[in-house]
Amino acid sequence: MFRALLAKDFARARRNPLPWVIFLLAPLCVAGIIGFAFGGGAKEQKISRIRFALVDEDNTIVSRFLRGGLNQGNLGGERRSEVPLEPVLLERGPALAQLDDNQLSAVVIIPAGFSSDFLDGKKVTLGLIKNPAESIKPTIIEEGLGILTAGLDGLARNFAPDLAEWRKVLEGDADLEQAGPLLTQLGRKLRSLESFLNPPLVGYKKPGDAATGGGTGGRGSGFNLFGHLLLGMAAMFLLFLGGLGLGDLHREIQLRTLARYQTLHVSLTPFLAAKVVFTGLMLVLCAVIILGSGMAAFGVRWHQPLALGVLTVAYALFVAGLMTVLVAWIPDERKADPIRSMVSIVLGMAGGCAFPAEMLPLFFRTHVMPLLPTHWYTSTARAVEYGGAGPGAWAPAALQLALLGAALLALAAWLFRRQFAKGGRA
Amino acid sequence: MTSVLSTPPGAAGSIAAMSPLLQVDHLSKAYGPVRAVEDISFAVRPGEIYGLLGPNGAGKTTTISMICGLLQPDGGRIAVAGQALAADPQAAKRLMGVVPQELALYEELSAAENLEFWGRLAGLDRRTARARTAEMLAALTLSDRAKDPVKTFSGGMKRRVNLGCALLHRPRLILLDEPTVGIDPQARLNILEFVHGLRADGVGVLYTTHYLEEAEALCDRIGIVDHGRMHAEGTLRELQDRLGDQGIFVLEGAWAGAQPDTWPGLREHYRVLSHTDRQLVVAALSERDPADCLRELLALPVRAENVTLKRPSLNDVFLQLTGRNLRE
Repeated sequence: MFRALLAKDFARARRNPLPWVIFLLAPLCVAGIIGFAFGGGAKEQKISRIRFALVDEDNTIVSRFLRGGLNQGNLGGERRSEVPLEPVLLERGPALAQLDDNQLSAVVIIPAGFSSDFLDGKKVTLGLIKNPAESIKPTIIEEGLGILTAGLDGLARNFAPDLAEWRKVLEGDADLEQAGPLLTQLGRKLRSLESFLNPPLVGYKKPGDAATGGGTGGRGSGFNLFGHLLLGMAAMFLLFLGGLGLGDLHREIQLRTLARYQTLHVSLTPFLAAKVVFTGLMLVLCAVIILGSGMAAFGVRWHQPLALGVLTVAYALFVAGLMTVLVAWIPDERKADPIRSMVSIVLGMAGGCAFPAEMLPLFFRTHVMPLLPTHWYTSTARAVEYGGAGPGAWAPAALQLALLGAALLALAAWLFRRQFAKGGRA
Repeated sequence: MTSVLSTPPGAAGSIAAMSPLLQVDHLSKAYGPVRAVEDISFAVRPGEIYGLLGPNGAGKTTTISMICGLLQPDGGRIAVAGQALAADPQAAKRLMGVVPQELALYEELSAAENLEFWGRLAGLDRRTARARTAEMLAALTLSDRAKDPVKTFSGGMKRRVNLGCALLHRPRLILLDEPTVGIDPQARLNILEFVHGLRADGVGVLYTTHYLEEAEALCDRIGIVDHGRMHAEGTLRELQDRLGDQGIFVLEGAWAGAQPDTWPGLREHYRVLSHTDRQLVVAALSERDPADCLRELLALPVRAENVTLKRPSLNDVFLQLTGRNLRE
């Protein structure tokens, strides 16, 4: 009988595939849009080029030296960083105009008198104007500038007497003969400092960095913004798709087929179970499409497919349970539809599906989010993929989701029986 | 159409002598202050078609819903094949086939798929369900449309599929809730013929309707219900005899504004069943010679242009019992 019930649902979906096709295509479209927005087919997510302006109002040999360092094509390039910087030398006016026109992520200003004050050991300040229309790229420039100023500060504090000598040399049209002894002196100082600087006693290692002998066995990965968002989108879409699948119970009520079923000698459980299994299978298919499309079309790598699969199946069970309860609780489809949408949106948003949890208030993060199954799924899945979390982290979360789903299904069956006993659907 | 139920006809002895397949005693159900069913009792025996006749809202569907377990009665007892429904509803439901008043079909599926699906849920294995589906489609004259989606069917064809879905497992007791509502006369005739064939197979049929002609033509016994109460039951003849066995008189004339109640002698000897500006229908209160009645009626203070003596119809009985016309 269970097979007959399941076959019936598949046959009905096959004869009227449009709602399912739309719901299965929608996540594909969204995944595509997100994918293109975050750089298309990058194997791992990379920030596109960061274009910023250097405004040298000091225009001395020191500032030229400084900007020269910044202006060597791709700062760092393959030497230190994978961040592709694209500085351009501009006057303040054109720089600000381009900033307003969103052509630049930031403007770095070396103010007049910078070299003189620096060499005198006075406090100096580099100017930074960030593009308010961007968030990540100006922050990267700010961080880079922070590192640069820390270096300059260290230089000023450790080589203060030499800097005064250097100033004389530099202000005297850079007589290289005078500079020679200074360079020799600088070399001696650096040699004496070598034992303090090299090798560094404190370092850091990226998790999963196999090349440097990362200790997580290749699990997890560097952060991938597209993959991060895709997991949240999947959680959201599964909620909506679950609503479509279990909302079919409303149509069974309208068609009177559920009432007819109740006139038979069989219990309600197989009917509900078949509907839940059917919807669960569709949810898993949807998850495969969403996550698979990210992998196939945009090069997202899922590092722990087994863990992600188990978590997703458990989450699908939770979604099916939740949506069955909503139908049992609100038999009127017209009332149930907006409530179902609202529940899906709130659970998705509050569970961190649409944006990073860190953006939410602290109280919410500490007291509300831990109660939300959407958060259990997204946070665990992200930890699995980007934190290298092992079975000790994902297995309890999957169990928790599956148990909640089962409890919700039991509640739904009880609600249905109570409704029927009262004659609500007869 | 031919019957497809293979249960041997319960022709041995009279129907009345058989123990009932369905026994309903003092059944009651209220929705808040509205008493939908009030103290209804009747029985359906094997090979019998029992009709519950009443207008919309009379309590027919509520009664059937309680019998098939969709509703809990507030009071009373239902027994199926001698076993109380409340004691073992699943066992009772195994014996039943329920045809709901509203279509309960999957419109995307074909007629054959619907029949087979409901047959399998009723307990048939796939092979048997498939074989009986073919038989049922032939019996319902739908074989040529077997693979078409039900949504492409006419109302009458859908009604036939709706009927067939309840019969595939060959139930002993069939509950038909207004199975001919909203279909054309030809389709209705097809269904009536089919149901008539069920009686020959020895099953008990409970048939609710608000069509007088259906009850008259199809049912062995009829219960007249209105406002949740059973007003009378019996065979068509027994019900007609409640109005006297010499028939009723229909007087036609022009007596606008006249008050029959004030006419001397009328109320003493006749029951006024109905009256309009053009027509007066009466039945003699006691057994009288029709010729004497005719003379008395022609002597009334208003002039009748035409007087007809006829056998009372079920509608006349309904009118007499409930004070209102079933056709209204």
